[in-house]
Amino acid sequence: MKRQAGSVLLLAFSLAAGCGGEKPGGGVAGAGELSIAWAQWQPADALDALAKDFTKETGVRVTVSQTPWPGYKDKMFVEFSKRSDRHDIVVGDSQWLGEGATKGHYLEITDWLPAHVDLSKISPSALRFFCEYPAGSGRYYAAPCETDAVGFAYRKDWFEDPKEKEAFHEKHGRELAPPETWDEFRDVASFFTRPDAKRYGCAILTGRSYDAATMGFQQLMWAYGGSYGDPKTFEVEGLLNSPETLAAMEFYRSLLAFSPKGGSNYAYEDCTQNFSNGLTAMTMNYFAFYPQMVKDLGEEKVGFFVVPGVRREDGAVRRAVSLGGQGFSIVSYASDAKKELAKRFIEWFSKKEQQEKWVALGGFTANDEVLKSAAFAAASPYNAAFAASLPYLQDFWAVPEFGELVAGTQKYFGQAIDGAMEPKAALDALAKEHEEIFRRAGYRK
Amino acid sequence: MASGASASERRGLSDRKIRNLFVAPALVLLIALNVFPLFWSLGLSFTRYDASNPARPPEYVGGANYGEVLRDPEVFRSFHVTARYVAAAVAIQFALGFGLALLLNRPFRGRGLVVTLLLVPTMLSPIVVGLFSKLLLEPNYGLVNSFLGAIGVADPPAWLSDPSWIWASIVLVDTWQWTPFVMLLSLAGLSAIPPHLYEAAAIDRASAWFRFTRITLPLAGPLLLLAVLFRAVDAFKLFDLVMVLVGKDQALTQTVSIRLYLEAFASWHTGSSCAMAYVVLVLVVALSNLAIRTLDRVSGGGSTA
Repeated sequence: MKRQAGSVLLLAFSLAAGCGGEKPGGGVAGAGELSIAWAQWQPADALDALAKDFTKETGVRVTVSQTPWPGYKDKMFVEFSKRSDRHDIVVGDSQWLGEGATKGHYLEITDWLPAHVDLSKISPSALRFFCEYPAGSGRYYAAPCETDAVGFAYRKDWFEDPKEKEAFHEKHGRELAPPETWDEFRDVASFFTRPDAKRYGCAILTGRSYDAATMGFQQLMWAYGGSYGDPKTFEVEGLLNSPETLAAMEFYRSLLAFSPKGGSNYAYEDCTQNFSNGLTAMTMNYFAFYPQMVKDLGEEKVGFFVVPGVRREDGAVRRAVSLGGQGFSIVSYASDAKKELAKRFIEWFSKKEQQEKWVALGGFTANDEVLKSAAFAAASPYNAAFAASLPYLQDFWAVPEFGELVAGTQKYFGQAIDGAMEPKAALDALAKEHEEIFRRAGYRK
Repeated sequence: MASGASASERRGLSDRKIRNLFVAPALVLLIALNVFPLFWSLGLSFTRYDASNPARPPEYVGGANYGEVLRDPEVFRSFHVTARYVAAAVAIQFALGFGLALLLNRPFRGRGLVVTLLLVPTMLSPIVVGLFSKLLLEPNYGLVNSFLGAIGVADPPAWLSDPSWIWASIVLVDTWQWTPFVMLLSLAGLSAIPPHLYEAAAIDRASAWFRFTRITLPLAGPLLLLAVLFRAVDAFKLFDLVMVLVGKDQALTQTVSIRLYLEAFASWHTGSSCAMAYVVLVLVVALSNLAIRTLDRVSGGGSTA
């Protein structure tokens, strides 16, 4: 009987211990631990690996909790709504800055950041998009972690095949090479599309998961001269549904003819999967997905190029590249001790030595010194294209209403892409919805 | 006197008190997790409020949220999508489930094993079903299209991308998972019919159709209706399967639950999402009452038949 009572007590104690104080990753709460939240992907594994060095140096244990991309934003903001201190740092998307800053979820680090991180070494676009809110205000809520951009991967072995080169030259009168413009891109995609051989020209981002269709299409919209609206007046009508955006949408839809079946709903992982399975000659995706792709296919089979642009009358190519990547934001609900630890970790991570290790692990740096070094360009087959993409970075609205803006954009861009709606009607409906959101939020009268 | 008193009374606790003590934890949990949020959200439905913004308290706006919800064409669209889905999915699952039950409602070797195996899909989580269905329905190397190609279908569909197939794909996956549930309830209804009624009908040389319409349907009716009611209520809440298979931003499959989720957690319009939840609640309660009344009428009719 005594033994039974003892077992019950032990069970009760275990349950109580299990219910309280447990932090993600199984550690026990304490000043010597740091919990970082990020999406579930390879860069988070790389951060986990790099953080082990921090633990060695400081004794502070770092846990990187990963959540699948589609539900990552919703999960984090539900936690913020509860003022949860479950995580001390969140590696949030650039577009979350507005919402995180204005709702008080992110700790303002305007005074701390310039004093502890050499901002002159950080790429200006990374600083502007990942750290500052509102843009140009000089107020900081994050430090760069993973700087990312959309780029293209292509099958180097197919492009370098002499027979393919000859056939392409015969058909188009120019060399088969990574395309500079979207028109050239369409030619190459069309050339490689051979459904009987289960080979297609391209996979482009069109999916309804999180922001895939938006991040894919907006690059064409900007390159064609369209825009989401006026960032000063928040005027949308006539800009988001302009003839330029419509022409860009028509072009984007035309690329589906060279995509494998189902290409009108390709999320990030679908693009990578179909490319790695040998279905497509070119795929659009964020650079952060490419280290794994190189591991899977081998350097001899895969090459990378910057997102194409539109050739203007003066001969120059107008390009736009969707910004990706995330910054470290300190959760304002963390304890003071954890906030200090978080700052210590960010300062450590931002040093050149760590940035070089970060790049070696497959991460993408915002450190200009590392980015511009010859060693960086030569370190991997994708680094040169990545560095060349940075001057063309542009971002979606990073205002607090990001969540509802991107949901509507995904829906209407998606319907225009898959043909469920006429592109003109979809863009008109989207412009109306965005106007309404801005009006309700008080940006427009 | 001592011999007549219960042990608890001797310790000063009456049976009534003990009963209340046992009921209290469940009652407290029910009030804390169900009743309180219900009334709290009712209050919030009359406010302009963003639960993700702790700095801004709820602001009373009267019935404005209800007005907005009832005027929002997207809300009506989501009700239309849901109603279409409920009608199609429940009808197909009923026809298949009841048909399977009729086939299985006879003794044969291995019947128990067959019924158990047929029930396996129902025991799986919708998320798991969604994830592997996504792989099966993948248009280029998924098993379904490979099979269709092997039997000579020249151009099998892009199930989860082509707007003309997306909706049907979700009904198909849901039907695969939930038909066995309807089958199980139908089988329970069929097994409860006394065999002597069929024997009497056979003696009277009643036709198979006559036996089906006059014995099987009326007597199994209450359980069949219960199956339809359960499925309809469950189908009305469709959320997880859509999220996994096509995502929350696919307009063609934006059900009421998905719309509610977007309103609550993408837009953080906590006040109007509460109002929308109440509109849904009133509708579901009204429809359920209607179904339960029909069920009562049918079971009353069944017992007097």
